[in-house]
Amino acid sequence: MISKRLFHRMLAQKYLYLMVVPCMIWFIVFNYIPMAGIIIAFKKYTFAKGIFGSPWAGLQYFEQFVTGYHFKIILINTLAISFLKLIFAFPAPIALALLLNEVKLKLFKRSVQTLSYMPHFISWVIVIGIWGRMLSVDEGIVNTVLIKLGIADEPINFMLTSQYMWSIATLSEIWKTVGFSSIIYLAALSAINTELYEAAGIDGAGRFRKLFHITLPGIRPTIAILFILAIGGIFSSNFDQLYIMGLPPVLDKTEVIDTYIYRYGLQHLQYNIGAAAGLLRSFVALILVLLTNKIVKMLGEDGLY
Amino acid sequence: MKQTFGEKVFDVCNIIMLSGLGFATLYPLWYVAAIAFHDSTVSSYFDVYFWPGAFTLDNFRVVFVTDALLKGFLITVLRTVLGSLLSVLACGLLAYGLSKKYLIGRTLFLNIIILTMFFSGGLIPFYILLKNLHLLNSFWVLIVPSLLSAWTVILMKTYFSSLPDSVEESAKIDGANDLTIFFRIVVPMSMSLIATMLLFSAVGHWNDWVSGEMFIMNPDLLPVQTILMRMITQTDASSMVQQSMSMEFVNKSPAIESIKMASIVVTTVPILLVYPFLQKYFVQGVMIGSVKG
Repeated sequence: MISKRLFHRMLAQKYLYLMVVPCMIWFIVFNYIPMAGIIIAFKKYTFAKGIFGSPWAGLQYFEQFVTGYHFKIILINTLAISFLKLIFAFPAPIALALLLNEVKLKLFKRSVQTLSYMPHFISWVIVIGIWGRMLSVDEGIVNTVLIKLGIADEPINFMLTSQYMWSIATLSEIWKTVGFSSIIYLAALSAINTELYEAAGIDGAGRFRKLFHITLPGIRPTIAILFILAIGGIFSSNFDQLYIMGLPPVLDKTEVIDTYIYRYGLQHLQYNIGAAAGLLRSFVALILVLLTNKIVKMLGEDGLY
Repeated sequence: MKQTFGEKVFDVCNIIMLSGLGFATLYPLWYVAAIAFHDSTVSSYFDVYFWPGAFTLDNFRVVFVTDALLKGFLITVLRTVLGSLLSVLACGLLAYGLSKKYLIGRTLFLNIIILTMFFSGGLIPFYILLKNLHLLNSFWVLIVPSLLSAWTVILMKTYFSSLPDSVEESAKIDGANDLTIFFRIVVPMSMSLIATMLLFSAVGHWNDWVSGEMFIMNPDLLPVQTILMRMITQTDASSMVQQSMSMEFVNKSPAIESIKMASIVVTTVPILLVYPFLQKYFVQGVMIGSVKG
């Protein structure tokens, strides 16, 4: 009997199952039960009645979220900050990797790399703390310099002025991530066959021709994959960073979907609306990944899967 | 090879740009450290560019007598050690099992794991789950929900698949089971990978403030980063520090800014001390991760 044979084969692997099954149960509990828990977005949920006991609410909470007074602001902020990061923070590590790749002094290259990785190991709390001190109206170094150079007449309160928030979010993101993200591109660069460069050199190609005809095509698959992932993250702007930056006077420029779900959904106990917003976000992110993956494949690159 | 004039110009510009980047990375950290050692009761921060205007260790002393911060440090150290060991153990066991192509149900398991990379239930259902599991407001909420991650498991699986089968086969003939093989043979063979994963996990635990903020109400259980986050975002943080400071320091309390900076230094230095030694490994680790598996 086949099932009996299968059972015996599985029994022979019992130690492997001992390693795998408890972890799989963890995945089911901590990832799949919350996925099933999404139905609270469609229910008038109360803790007392539980998920299954609560009555259905239809699409009421989605409607409340989308027509809500905050919706336009958080949509604009989420998209704007994500696109700014996509335009500036996404190519930055590629540029850094290309520049580092051209350095012939080994020691210098390694020192710059070691320094540039450093912010990756620092928490967003500390990063915003450091930037806040630098940009502080209370004798921060940036204001001190601006005043001494005569660029500003009086200290600018950067961290409490709405108009600077998007720039600070983008710049601090670059500062924190550029070095570490460049590792993966450097790995891709080191995998390019050096004979190609020699051959091109003999054919009289200069540095820029080599860049456009060998180097960039060589790392294109890596760029494609990371781009798909970055697109998937468009609706999940960095919670860590923006929640800390979101002091009351600048909330109109820092509130994004993720911070809204926490602030409104959890802190103000609007579970249903928070869950509806979360489901919309996850759903759109999934669609974007699938779509980008398809487009990337149509352009002739390997996709994610 | 002979260099053209243009290439020399490029090299010089390149080195200047990269030095600028190195400076831009290092200087903010240096500046904050200088302020942490600066006595703001004596002179203003204007004096501080590269060195403290008036050197003092008082700011650090305040950090170390502030009850809330000390407790936070303890919680953070405990969760970092325990959390990263457990996490790497769990991910390693699962990844090793999944690296065996003959494991029945392997594709199903892999698909279950990979889907979690692209779709999630979101914060609210997750919060309700933690509440129902009675994890909210307990120390374990800092460890259990982050035990496994799809990314780590896939990365370790890729690495284990690349190990030669021959050693394991001979151990099997000698009667060793998979668990013994994993702990006695595979783990010692994979120390560089394990070191990398421990580092990543430890950094994650050390730097995490979100779970403390969202899932813990008891002030005695807050990780230090959550406490710092509140100090940095709350303008009345001074009262918070003063409340839990010993009487000796209340009278000559330095400016709250300097204490914040000292806390930043104390929280950041441990991680920055470790990472240059492990750099070789995590660069390898990221490279393994970049290989599609």
